[in-house]
Amino acid sequence: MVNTAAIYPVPGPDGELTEAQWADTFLLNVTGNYLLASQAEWVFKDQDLPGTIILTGSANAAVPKKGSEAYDTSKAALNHLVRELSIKLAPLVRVNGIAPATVVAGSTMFPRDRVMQSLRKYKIAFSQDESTEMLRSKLADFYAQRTLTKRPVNPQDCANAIAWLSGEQSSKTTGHIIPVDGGLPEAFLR
Amino acid sequence: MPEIQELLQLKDLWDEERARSLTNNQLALLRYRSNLLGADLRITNFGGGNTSSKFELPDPFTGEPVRVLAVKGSGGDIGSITESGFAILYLDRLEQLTSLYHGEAYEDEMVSYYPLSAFSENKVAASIDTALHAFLPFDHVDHLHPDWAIALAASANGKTKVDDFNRQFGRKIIWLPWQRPGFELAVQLKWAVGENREAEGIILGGHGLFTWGNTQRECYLNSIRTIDQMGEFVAEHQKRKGALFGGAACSPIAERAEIAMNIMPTLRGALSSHRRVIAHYTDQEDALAFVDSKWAQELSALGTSCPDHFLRTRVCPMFVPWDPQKQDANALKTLIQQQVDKYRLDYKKYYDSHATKDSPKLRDTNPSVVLIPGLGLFGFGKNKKEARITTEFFINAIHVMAGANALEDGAAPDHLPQARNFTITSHFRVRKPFELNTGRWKRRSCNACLLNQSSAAKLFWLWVAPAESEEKWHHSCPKEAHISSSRITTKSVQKPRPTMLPRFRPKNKSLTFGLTSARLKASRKL
Repeated sequence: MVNTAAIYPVPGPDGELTEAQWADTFLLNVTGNYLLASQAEWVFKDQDLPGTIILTGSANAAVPKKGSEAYDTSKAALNHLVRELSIKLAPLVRVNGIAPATVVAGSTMFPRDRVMQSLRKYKIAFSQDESTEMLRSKLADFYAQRTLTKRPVNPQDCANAIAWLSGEQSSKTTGHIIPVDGGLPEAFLR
Repeated sequence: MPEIQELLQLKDLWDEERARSLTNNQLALLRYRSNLLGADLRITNFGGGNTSSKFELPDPFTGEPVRVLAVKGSGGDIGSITESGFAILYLDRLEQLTSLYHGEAYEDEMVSYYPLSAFSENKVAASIDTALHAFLPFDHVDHLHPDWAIALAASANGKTKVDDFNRQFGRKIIWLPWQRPGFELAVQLKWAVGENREAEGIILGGHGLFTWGNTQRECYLNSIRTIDQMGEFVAEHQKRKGALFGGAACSPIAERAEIAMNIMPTLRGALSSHRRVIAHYTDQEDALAFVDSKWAQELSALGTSCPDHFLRTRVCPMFVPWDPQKQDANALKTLIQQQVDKYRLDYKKYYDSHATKDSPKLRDTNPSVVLIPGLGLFGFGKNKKEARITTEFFINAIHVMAGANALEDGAAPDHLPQARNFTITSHFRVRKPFELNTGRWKRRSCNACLLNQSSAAKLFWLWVAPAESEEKWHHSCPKEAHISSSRITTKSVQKPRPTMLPRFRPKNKSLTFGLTSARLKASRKL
């Protein structure tokens, strides 16, 4: 079972989230995943076949910054949930996660407005008539420069990691989070 | 062909305008005819049957028009086939093959000549039925597996019922006892048609239907009208019969979808001991009528009704004897596990008691069809599509059994007319294992007439994939083709083996049927 659904709460004009937004963020990003695993547990047990669960974390869970506290801390909680679920569901089901970073291409977390906001923040030149794709790739390239591999992370990279975790090739890996972040030294020890 | 009344069950889908636009393109017309036939699952099962046409094309060597045979490629499905799915072969080369034929024991060798007979750049692997399309002396031939025709073909009284059918509808369909698909069958069909010039079609015992025509349209009409009439014939019997399969043992439960979902992980897990499978569940009316019937368990044990079915549904389905009135879903889960263990043990015993040193190794011992009273029918496959097709095939099998049940009119005959060897007594011996190898059919006659079986079981001659050893069939048995009005004496088709075999052996390994076994057999004979 693979879950890549989560929410990234967008702050109001004052740059702050409401309490309700905080609650929703944790409800969906943390509690939701626990409920999902509980609901799936009986299916795995009845089948009695080795299975895997893959949840989607984020590099933000380990690399601190400002401006997205609710999202980042919910993902940190999710990382620990992966570890604890792996104990709860062992030995039949393995539970792992991936921790992507800055997957800009095709991501609903990076709508046009947010992209332009970020480009301004990082003082990257752009013009209004450029397409959303162009703006996104400018931002992705900027992020890539801050990684060790210097290449943008795309959805296919995440899918490859998930595919490995979901098959027999990773049969001895459980309770682990695989980074798909281009190589961020700040996230090495987590 | 006498004028026949309107179609009652099938529809004539032929669009004259569309056909006219394809007039000079026989291959396109063949494709059109095939797609129309394959569009209705009552006419043939998915992937089952094959169609062919004989026409002229300019020979790439001489530029002169030459007769070719276009026939469905191996493994294709006529409902979705396109022009590139047909194998095209020189007809004269195929016709010459009779002079190279050494007899039934060597019929697998003939398959290696098909790629040699390919026309121009056509590289489509030819169907195992290529020779029989070539040898039937009609420009257009349809070989189909309609449930209604298979009901006739597989019933214990099928031969006499075909006589009744011919009388009632003024037709001339001839009956040929079962013969394994291959060159020998082609020779027999040619000879049967030669002896019965007025024949309009053939029912091959335990297998299916052959119909033909001199034009594409005539062939199509002959096929659908014959099948429609057979449908009517069976429907009339069904009406007279009343309740099928001994009547209902239980009724479908209202919450069957929820319970099916509840037990699905247990069921899927239990069947995935060899490879992980996907399930398809159906509670459609005809499936439930069978699964909920008094004879369901007994009939399940008899197995499938024709080669194509066997490929998908394996030896027999697994029947889970759950009583929805007295037991709950948890009891069902336990029962499922018990039944699967039993099925696997039985399967292994069956294999062990029939396998020879040549038989392929035993692989998957799990069922691919599961029947649960009150709930319905579950089919399994390696993916969603295959699972759905498996259920469709078993529903075809149910239709065949329903038809045969309806046609039943008393005790089963002493010997079953599907058999080739008429000295076999009422108790068939199970001869050989049924494991498939390289797609070739092996033959086994089935325990159809077990003396302790109810009359239900005696109705059907349901057999599964045959297996023959070379020693047994070295001398070909006398065969008889029964026709409504006359009895034909047989002639053996075995010829003395020449001292020299053809030197050339093709290196083409892409054929999926019998080439390997043919080579092995040939090398052992030398």
